[in-house]
Amino acid sequence: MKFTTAIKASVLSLGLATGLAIAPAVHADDYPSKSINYIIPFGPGGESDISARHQQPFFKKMFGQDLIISYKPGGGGAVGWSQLNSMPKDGYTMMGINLPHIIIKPLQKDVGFKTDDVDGFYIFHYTPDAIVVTADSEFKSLKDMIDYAKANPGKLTFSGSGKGTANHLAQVTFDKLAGIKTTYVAFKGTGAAVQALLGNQVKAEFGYTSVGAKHSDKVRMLAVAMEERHPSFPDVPTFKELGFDIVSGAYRGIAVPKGTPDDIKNKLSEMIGEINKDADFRKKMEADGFALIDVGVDKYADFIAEKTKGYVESAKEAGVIK
Amino acid sequence: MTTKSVAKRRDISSPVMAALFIAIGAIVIWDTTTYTDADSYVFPRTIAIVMIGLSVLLTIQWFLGWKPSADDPGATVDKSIPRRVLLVIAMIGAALAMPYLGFLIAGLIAFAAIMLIAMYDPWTPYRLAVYPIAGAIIVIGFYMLFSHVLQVPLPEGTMVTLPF
Amino acid sequence: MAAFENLVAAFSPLNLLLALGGVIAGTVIGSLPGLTATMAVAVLVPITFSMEPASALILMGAIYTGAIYGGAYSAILLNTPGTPSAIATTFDGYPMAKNGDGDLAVTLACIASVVGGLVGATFLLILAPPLASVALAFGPVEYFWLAIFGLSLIAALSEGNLVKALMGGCLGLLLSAIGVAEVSADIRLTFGSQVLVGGIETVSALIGLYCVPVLIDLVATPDKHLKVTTETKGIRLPEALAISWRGKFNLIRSSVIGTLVGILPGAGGSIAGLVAYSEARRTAKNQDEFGKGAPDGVQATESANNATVGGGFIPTLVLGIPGTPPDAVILGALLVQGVKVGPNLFTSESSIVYTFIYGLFLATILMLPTGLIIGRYAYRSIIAIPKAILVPTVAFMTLIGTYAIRNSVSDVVIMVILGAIGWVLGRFGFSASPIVLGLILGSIAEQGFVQAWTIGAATENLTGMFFGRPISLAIIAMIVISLLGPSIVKLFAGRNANADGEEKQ
Repeated sequence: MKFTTAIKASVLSLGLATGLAIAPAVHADDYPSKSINYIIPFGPGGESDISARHQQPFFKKMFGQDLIISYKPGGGGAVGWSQLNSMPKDGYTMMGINLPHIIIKPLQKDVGFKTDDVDGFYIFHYTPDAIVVTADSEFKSLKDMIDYAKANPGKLTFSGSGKGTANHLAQVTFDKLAGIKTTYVAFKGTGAAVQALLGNQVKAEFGYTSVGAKHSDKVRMLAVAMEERHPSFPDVPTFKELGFDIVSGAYRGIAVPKGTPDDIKNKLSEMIGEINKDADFRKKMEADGFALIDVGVDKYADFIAEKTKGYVESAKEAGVIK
Repeated sequence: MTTKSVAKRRDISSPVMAALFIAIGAIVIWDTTTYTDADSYVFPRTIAIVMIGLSVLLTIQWFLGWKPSADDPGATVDKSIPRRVLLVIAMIGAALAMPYLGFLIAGLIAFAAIMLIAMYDPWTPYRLAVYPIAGAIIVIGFYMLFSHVLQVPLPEGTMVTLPF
Repeated sequence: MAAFENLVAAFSPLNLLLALGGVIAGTVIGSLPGLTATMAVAVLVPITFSMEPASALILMGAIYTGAIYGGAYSAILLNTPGTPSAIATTFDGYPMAKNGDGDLAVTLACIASVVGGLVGATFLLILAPPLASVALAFGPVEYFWLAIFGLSLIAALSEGNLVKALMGGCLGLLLSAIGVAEVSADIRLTFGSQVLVGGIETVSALIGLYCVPVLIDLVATPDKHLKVTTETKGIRLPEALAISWRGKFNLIRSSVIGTLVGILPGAGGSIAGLVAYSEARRTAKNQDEFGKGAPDGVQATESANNATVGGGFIPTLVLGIPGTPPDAVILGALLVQGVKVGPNLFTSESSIVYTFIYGLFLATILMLPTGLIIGRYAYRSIIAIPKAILVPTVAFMTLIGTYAIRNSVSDVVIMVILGAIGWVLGRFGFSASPIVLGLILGSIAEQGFVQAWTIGAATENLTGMFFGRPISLAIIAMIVISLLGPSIVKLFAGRNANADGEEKQ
């Protein structure tokens, strides 16, 4: 009896002591006062990493603190997102988020997080989907491609990055809108999908505008899934111009662990927005084929809700979710 | 024919392991029925079937008393079992304690425990003085290398916080 | 003469210093299980923003080269591949160390790494643009057959019962399927556990399956970790040089294999080492010594995996498709710096790329003295440290190293549990190597198969897809040769040996 009270007392005091020690003493005025951990839930070298690397020097220049980028890959991002909310909520830890991943993954099986668990505060860019063919391809325009697909159902092969991804869902939508049947071949990441395209293993790639930017001497894009033409590719039409209502891509943003003070979140949202406004940053991102957008903390929830509808519909058609 | 030689020839580890692998294969096949995409189950299901087939083959080998090579050790366990088990427990314990105690403290405790497990020589005053210090230097050194130079976000622990 | 200017630029004092520092840091990092070349290079990325692109490339290339070589230390001395590239180094390196030849093995690995690195860099210098097309000639089906070729090594490697080895291989293949499938989005074999959603990380599995059993056996006895012959022999350089000279064809062949496999994105150093090992074993006269401490095995893998460094840069710089994970990081850093990769890099911005290649040569050559010196200390420390320090140190390194790969506590738990399972399976005659081969090659085999099948079905030519392409047929021929040769011999030899054994009883 005495013993258990002693244990209780010590546990209590220990809890109190540590509670005091870790009580977040964060104020938005002097934030950030130290470097910020920026976790990418994918491996290095992908688009998520590269866009974060683009932000890194601008953040340092504008706000005086370092962004320390680390990686927590696994489960198509699920490993990182499922652990996000157990990380320190002092505003010095944030994590990259990707659409459609954070919407599709939790609908498949229990992956340790729900879309609502992810406390995103900014979507800062996207890589628009695009149909890419090799420079010497027989398809000169989207019409050539659709004609071929109509004459040869199923024989038009697209490489793309993974299943249930932006590429895959766009291909499903395209098939439906154009009234054709094409074959989607999933590869591990954009690099492998491009390799298959350049090696003529497939007829075309459902990729991103970043593919067109990176391999501009070897490929050409037939259409991009944007509202307006990409500034780096004024000659490439949008799907909309060609009569297909597809505006899609892989959207990337940043989230904080749930429970991070609101004023810190607002401040971070402002900061990321300011980087997005920087002319030099814009130029570099656009040269790599990224398209900048500004979905700040106030518009985030609506944006996710709107995107969820479209993604869920295509994912069901694609057979990725039931 | 002594019982010993019978036991040696009729080492039952092979059919036990075969049964275990068959069970694993069966669980895998059951799991594959929940996949939504045909691309997902072709591979694991095929492999599971092959593995079950091989397990059956292993059982037949055993039944015929045929050992294909003299190198096959069968089941052998010797020497200190307690120390082995303690080592594994210490390592898993350290991993599980990390999120609560933080990496450094969990690492120090694990290091000390494993040092005791691996210690066969008598504890002379010299060793008593030098080994723990060496251990602390190694653990703290690696901790600093990883957390500060390589910028690995090592677990900090929810129960104890460190000044650095 | 532009080439001369680039050569001079590469040898500027700053670049010399970067190459030297990079090689040393890389070697140390590579020798620690869990610290991979990818991570070392990724940490450097922000530093390189404030550097000339060529200098940044030299630093990253030097770290990368050093790390691939450093992986040999732990493979030889602790039976733990510090990086996946060094898996096949354990096959003969650790037996050599157990026999008291650890110092010799380390020196041989150093020489082989330098040769491999130089061969890879030479190909990068002279033939990069044409060789990049090799990467494009490899479609999904070729990757599938290449993975099967790697798996065929299970038969060659099986020490005891072939059936058990194949069962272990299947287990490894199934382990590779755990988690979110990389190409089809399904979540497999997690049984509702979120711990398994991320799958089994390859390097942590390597550490678990190879290193933990060694630790488990170390604590069981008071015996010394490695046998030490009474006289200290130093680094045994003359002896190693003589062996290397005798094995020169093996070294060159393995280096060429390493370069070619390195060119294939996604294949990487582990497959290069395995293929080179397999070829070395197949062509050797002393096949029986392989797996028991044959120097040729160490030479083959170490020259092949360092050749992948130069090989991997070929698709990275020419096509913009990273050959290996560290290449992906380097490519990302270059993109952020505004360097546009492509064949033009070898003409228009030639100064950067050629300065870098000469820097890579420099780093590789510097690896000889630094590698020998660090190797000597690594060996000395491993044999001199008392067991009560060595075991907890290595155990601690496995914990921190495994954590650092993906910053994941789950990976650490999985690593230890796999290690314990591996130890138990080992006791029952299931060795770790087939499981590891299955685990590493599983995803390559599966992806290649599913993609080839999808494309083949779409074009209504499945047979042609799997058996009608020249490179595929060549790989299939290699599989048949390496598989049927030794295993038939073995099967008959085994039957006879066993018959003898029965009679004696």
